[in-house]
Amino acid sequence: MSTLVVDPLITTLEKTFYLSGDRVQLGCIAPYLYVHNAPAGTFLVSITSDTGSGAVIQKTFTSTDILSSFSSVGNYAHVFFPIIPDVPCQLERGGYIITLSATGYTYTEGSYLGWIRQHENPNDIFTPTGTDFDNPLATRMKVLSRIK
Amino acid sequence: MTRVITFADGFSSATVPNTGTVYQASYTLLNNQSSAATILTLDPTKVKTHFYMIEIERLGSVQYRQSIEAVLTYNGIWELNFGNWQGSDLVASTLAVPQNITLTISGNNLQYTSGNLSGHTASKIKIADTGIIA
Repeated sequence: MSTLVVDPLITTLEKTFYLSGDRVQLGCIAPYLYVHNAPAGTFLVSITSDTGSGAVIQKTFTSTDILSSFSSVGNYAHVFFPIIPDVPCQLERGGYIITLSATGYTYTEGSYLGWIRQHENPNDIFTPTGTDFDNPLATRMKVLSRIK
Repeated sequence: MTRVITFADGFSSATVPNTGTVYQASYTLLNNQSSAATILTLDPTKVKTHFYMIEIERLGSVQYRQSIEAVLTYNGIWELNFGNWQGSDLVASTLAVPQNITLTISGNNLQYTSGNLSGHTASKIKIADTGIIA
């Protein structure tokens, strides 16, 4: 049994992150999403520089895309959903904003897409000073490494 | 509103997970809010009883925190009832501060006004909501 702390998507949800090392080749960015009763609409994940210089990557998907990735059929799911760039994408050192938005979608209590907050993360060694509702929106990032 | 979902085993389900009590992250009320400002819009088809905890905390050298409970219930129209202010302040002259926060209902909108909290500009004013899903 999993306990999830979920922020439903009303209009937009945002998360900021900062890369402090050398530039990375982005393999995928995977927000931890919650699908509640297969909401209609097209969702968009975009990564933009916090300097406002435009989107680095943008990709759309539907709740069907998420649900069909499971072997068992259901309208409710939670998963780190990978957003894979269509073209090679490098991120340089600096701040970025991940934005989740939608078109043709209306939040209702009975059907929505949500972004799950980090909760009871065994790998998180830093105890939040607030409640779990203040935890960051959970996201994973995979980077590509050169095979030597 | 941030909520807690209890999901059965696995990552996909054909049945509705258990959606627990809907919590609301804390709000920050502004100082000198002379015109009624909407904090949130209530939906009586979703939640008919809200329990609010309102806390005023002054940061800085003098520790100050007062809190009050407010209950909002829907019986065709929203009714707002308050408990008593609890807490303490080391400076007696500031005990009147909580009275400068006024909550009102306008239609389905929970609104507030605030007076001059002079001397408390470093204060944090929070309101947290625990509702019972209809």
